[in-house]
Amino acid sequence: MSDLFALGLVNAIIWTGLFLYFLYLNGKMRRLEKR
Amino acid sequence: MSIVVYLWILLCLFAAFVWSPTAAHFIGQSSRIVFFHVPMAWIATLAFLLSGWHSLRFLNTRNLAHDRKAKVAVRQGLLFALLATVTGSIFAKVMWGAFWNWDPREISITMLLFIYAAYLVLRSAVDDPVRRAHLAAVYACFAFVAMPFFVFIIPRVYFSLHPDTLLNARGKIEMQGRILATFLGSLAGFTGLFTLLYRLECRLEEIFFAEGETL
Amino acid sequence: MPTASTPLLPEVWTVFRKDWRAELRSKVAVNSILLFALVTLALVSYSIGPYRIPAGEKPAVLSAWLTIILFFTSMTGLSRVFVKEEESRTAETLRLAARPEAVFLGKLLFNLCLMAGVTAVVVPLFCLLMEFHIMHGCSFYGIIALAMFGLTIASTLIAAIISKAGMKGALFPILSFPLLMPILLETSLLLAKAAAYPDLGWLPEALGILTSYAGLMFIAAILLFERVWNA
Repeated sequence: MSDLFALGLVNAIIWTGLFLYFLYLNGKMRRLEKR
Repeated sequence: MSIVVYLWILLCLFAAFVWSPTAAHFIGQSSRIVFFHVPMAWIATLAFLLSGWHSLRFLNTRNLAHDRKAKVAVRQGLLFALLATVTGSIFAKVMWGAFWNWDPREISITMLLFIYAAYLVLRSAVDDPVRRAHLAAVYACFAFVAMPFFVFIIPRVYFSLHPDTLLNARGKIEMQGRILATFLGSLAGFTGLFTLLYRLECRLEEIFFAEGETL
Repeated sequence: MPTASTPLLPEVWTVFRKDWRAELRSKVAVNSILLFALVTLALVSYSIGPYRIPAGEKPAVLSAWLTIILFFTSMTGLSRVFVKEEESRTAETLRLAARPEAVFLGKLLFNLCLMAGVTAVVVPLFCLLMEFHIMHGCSFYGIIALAMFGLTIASTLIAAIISKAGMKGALFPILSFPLLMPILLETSLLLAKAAAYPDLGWLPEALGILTSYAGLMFIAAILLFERVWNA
């Protein structure tokens, strides 16, 4: 695995992970507002 | 507040890729991974400390707010521990040719992952909210007692593949100049991000609890 | 309610004796745990046998096997001591009759005896069946004893926790594993060393780690048990 590819992969994973978690929290908030 | 954190993170990204030089003894650009992987591991530890603290506070005060905070800390800790493990594993592949080596640090992060997962499974297995809070808090405290034992003692005792810690055995700081600055900046940025995320979810949990939804 | 004047040790002994007698009557735990261990042993011995593994590899591989067998054996039997109380609804009575510390210590003693008995049967049998020649018998058995001691302490507290939850059977290994993982990894490494090397330089450090684990777990368990018991 090339080092640049690894760096890119690491960043992609981190930011995607954080973004997905943020979406998950958003979904919960929306579920609450719907009630 | 959040704007400041986002801007700071962007600055750190720029610094991580452009401004700071690469370190010696690493393959090509791969030393830059330290700006991402180590903050993740640090936050996972921070979340663990938070969950232990709030669990202890709950056992002392029996105030369910602490139980909610501990749960949020564990959930987010699981996220960051997962990120730390995956990024570390990629780094391991680049540096040492294998994704996983059972190096003591890797053992510790695996333990942390299992503890978080077990905590969440325990919570889902108990119906009564008060009993759930008590059992979860006791488990968290028990794990809290066991963990440092292995995080601090075993890596010191056995040889580790991990590069020297920030403060190595001689007590000197190994990173220099721009690398150190970028690293500290990245650490601060991610900690800020975690604080935002943690506070957000805690507030969410409080609202949920007030509305009558549990779990 | 127990008064402060009731001394601790006789209470512990009473709790222990109660469980011991109940166990002697039915022998459920001891039988199931032994059978599990023997079945696992038979499986390993049958599929791998004493000659399949080259002599140089034996210490590492067989130590890992032994640790696995002992771990799963403990997962089979150590939760019974609390789950039985909850299921037969005698837990409330016990809560009234004895202090939490006495209950924990009594049940811990029971679990220790259980594990000791099972280990005493399983380990020699394993070494026999797999032609596991150990260089240092004393340190080998000593390490097993200490490791099982620590394992039992941690498992007993977890058993108390899961006895109050649903899905008890499945939950017990899930909760125990993270806390026991370091001791299990340590043990399989140390047993390999005890079996392979003639020198003992690593022993003091090893004993230190195992003892501190057991001690730490013991103190934490004693402090936390009361909250679990009354949850």
